[in-house]
Amino acid sequence: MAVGNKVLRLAGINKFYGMGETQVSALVDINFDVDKGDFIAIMGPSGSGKSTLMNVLGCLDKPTSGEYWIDDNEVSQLTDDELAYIRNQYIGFIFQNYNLLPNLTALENVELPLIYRGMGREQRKEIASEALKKVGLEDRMFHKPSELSGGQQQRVAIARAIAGSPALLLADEPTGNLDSRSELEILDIFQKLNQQGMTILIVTHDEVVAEHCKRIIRVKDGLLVNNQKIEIRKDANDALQSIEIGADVG
Amino acid sequence: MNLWESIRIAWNGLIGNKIRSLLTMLGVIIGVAAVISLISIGQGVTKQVSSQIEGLGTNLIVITGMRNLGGVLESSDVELLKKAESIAKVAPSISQSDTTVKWGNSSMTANVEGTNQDYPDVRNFSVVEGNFITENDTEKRKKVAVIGQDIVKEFFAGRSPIGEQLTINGQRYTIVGVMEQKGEVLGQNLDSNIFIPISSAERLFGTTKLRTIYVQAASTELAPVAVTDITNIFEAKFGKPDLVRVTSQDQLLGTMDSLSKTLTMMLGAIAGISLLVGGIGIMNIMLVSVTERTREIGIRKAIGAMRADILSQFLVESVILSISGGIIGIIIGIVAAKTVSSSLGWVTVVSLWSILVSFSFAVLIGVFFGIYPALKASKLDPIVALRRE
Repeated sequence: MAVGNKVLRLAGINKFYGMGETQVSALVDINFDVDKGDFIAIMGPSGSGKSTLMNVLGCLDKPTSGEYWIDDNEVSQLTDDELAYIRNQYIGFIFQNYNLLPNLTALENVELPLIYRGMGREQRKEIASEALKKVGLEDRMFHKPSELSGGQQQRVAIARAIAGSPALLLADEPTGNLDSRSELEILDIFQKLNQQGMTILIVTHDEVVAEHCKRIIRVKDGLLVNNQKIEIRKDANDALQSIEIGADVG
Repeated sequence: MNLWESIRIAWNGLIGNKIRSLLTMLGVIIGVAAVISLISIGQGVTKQVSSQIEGLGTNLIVITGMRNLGGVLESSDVELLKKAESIAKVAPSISQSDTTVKWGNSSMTANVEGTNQDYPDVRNFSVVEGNFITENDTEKRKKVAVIGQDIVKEFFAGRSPIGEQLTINGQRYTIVGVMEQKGEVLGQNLDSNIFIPISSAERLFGTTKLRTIYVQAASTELAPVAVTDITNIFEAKFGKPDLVRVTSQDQLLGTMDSLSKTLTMMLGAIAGISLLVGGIGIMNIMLVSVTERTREIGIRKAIGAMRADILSQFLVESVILSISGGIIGIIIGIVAAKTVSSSLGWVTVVSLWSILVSFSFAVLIGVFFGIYPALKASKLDPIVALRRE
């Protein structure tokens, strides 16, 4: 690792779109580190650049300038295939619009990253169904995305991201389409994964969701405006249990 | 990622769009089927022509005189030719087509040919009943005739014609033999021939000028020697060269062979073009497929597919299309060739090499025309691909 126990390090990251007078600055001089085992909420109004930041973090998009380190690797120095390898091995990415393959079943979708790891069929199926169980979709494994609700599709996408036990989990509005109970369930999953050592970054505009994280980074107009630790952290498991007690009483 | 995974992913991609996959394959199917069936027809023609030429006789050499230049062939030339060691047998021929032949009250026209006892061996044409003209018949200028199957059918349906008398140009001839069925050989119907001794024919037609002399070389190896010997014999006789035309069966076979090979190649080339068009069809569809599935490619890349993974996925798709198209095309091509030969009566020869060549050509086309779309897919930027709807 480059700097102590930092997993990620962003130094002077800029991202511009277009040229000359029509140039749009999506990210301006972003600097922050992410420790191993961190759980960060990235917040900001729409158009603030938080999705661009997410794409840069996920090695999907390259910054115009600045350094982005993942462990010992400076991303701008890597080839396309090396980036694909990092995305496959170290990063689980949950997209805002799920991005599932429509002609594959839930199980096959979850298997995809494992296929590209070169994992054998049997092992792959086992790990993928385990991941689907974690998100409560064990009875929907052989359904295609079109046969699932938005919330269920989102959970398939989460299962796909966590199936390979990545060191880093990136989620773009992971609970945006879910009811409050499902939201708590997903947050519970994230908190448990985080406890097991997975570093998690989520983009959200929901303060309640953010309060389940360890840290909030606020972005506005491409600038990092705030990087604060959450003092009183919410526990999704507690909330879930209180709902169940409430349900029993009610 | 191993090849099996690529094949599985590609197969699922193709199954997901069955009609399109089938239509894409159709180009290759038609191409391969056309190559196989057209080449089988071309080779059938080659085979038929060669067997006809071989049926003309064994080690046959045909001598024709350039009459208008003074190259007149006569019966005496036969003895001259027999002296050459390279020559086994010599049969002179003097003939007159459209000769009126009568039996009883019925009459017909036939080709009357005067020759000698060597004719059946030289022309590979034998007697099925009775016997052919003998040396004795020729010496004694006997009025005997050997008739072809057409004459038998016309005059003697169901009866033996041996001993019957025919009237040829007002002269009576006794039938001593019947020739086997030979059919048409290179445009000449040998079944409507009536053979009579050469000496009788000279008198009947009132000429000693031979139309042709058929020569059988002593062996296949000696055939070229025989051709030279014949040329020398006539050059000595006339005192100048090129008054006779000497054609050997080998030359004829060679000419016909190269002719029909050209035909086969032309048919194959035309079919090959349709195969090429089929390949372009594959490329076209694969390009559409890449555009349509940009998002899928983006997703696959986002979760870790490398360029080689995407490349092999699309390349394998186009190769599967061309291989399955090739296999179906082979089956249809063979069936088409069989149908042509059974319904039109043509001889068709489905050769292994045409199957192998067209199949490997189809696979190559799949690879060649699949590479560009697959490369295009593999080079897509994941974030750009994901943004595409």
